[in-house]
Amino acid sequence: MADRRVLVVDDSATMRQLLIMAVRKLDGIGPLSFIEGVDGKDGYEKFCASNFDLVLSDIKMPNMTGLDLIAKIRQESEHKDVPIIIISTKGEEHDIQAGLSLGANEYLLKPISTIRLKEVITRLLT
Amino acid sequence: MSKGEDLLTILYKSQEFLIELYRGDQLAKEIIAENQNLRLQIKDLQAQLARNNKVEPSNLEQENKQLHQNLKQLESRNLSIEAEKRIFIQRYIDVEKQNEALANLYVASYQLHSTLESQKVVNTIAEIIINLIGAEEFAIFTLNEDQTELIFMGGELGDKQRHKKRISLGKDIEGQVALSKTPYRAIEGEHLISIPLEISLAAKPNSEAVNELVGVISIYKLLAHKKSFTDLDYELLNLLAGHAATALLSAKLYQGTERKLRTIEGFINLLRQN
Repeated sequence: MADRRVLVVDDSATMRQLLIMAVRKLDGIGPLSFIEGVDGKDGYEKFCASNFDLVLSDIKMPNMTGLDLIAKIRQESEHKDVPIIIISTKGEEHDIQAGLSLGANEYLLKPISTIRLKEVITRLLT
Repeated sequence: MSKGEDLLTILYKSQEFLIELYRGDQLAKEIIAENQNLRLQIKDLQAQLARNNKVEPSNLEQENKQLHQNLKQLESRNLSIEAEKRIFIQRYIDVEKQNEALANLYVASYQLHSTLESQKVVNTIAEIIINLIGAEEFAIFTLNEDQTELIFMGGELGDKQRHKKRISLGKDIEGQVALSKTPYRAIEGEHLISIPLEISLAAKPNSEAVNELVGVISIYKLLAHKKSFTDLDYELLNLLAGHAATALLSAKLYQGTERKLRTIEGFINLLRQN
């Protein structure tokens, strides 16, 4: 079984490593491989250069925000089904609604609960 | 047929008759005995029936009571098993959380020690405080060369803390924490936590280690959706403080060494030119 490819976009290297560490092994899901994007722009370039099964993205990032990244991904019909999870410190209701209305599948808040993140990813990839 | 033969025949027949009579007598005795047996059995059965009729209800009642008692015992056992199950589930969740915290600590310490640039170390500490602890307003201070002041190095200051760029030792909560090297923790308020960043150093091998202060981390406000600062958060922050102190001191020493090296190189170049 081929690896599921996950794009992790966050301007914090620590956060990217935390996310990768948290979901590197998931029950019932095959092996995952990770590509990192250091901001929205870098994330979008990497997304376009390859096929991904899942995108994890922060919102507040330099060059291109996570919301812009999601909007650009969802503009292309071939990518409308790629699951996107937003992981952000912005927990206001309007932030959550903005992310979900652009096409994100889930909106999780930092500090992240690994158990919750695993549940969501397992559901989206099964 | 002669008269003698007739007599013999009669004798034989009478003998056969007697034998038959004897057999009949035996059979009658056997039947009487069997009859007696059957009567006794009937009496026994009647007595048993009478006994059963009298004893059975109370027996059933007792049996019923016993069954009820067993049921109660089973129910209570079931309840205790359910309680044990809940305890184990809670333990599993706690262990998962601790695993998560350990994994986070591993990543955080790895990131902290992956650079020797002071500003990068400070940025990493800030990332950890935001992403792992869930702080919105916080500050990272380091002790100045004279060890008289705390200097703001990074963080997110709110309006009430904007003035906190330099804090003398002993002044404000941060200065007091630096002086006493004792953490401060409040349940609520404008200043939640201050933790000293200190490192245990021995001047030379086998000499007693001394705790040297490197700086202070203060958290003023948590992210809006983070309701409280848990004990696990506090533990994690304390563990991180140790790593942060080591990383900051390493970066400071490395930069000092680099500066000295450049001075010496410059001096040597100057000598060569002359």
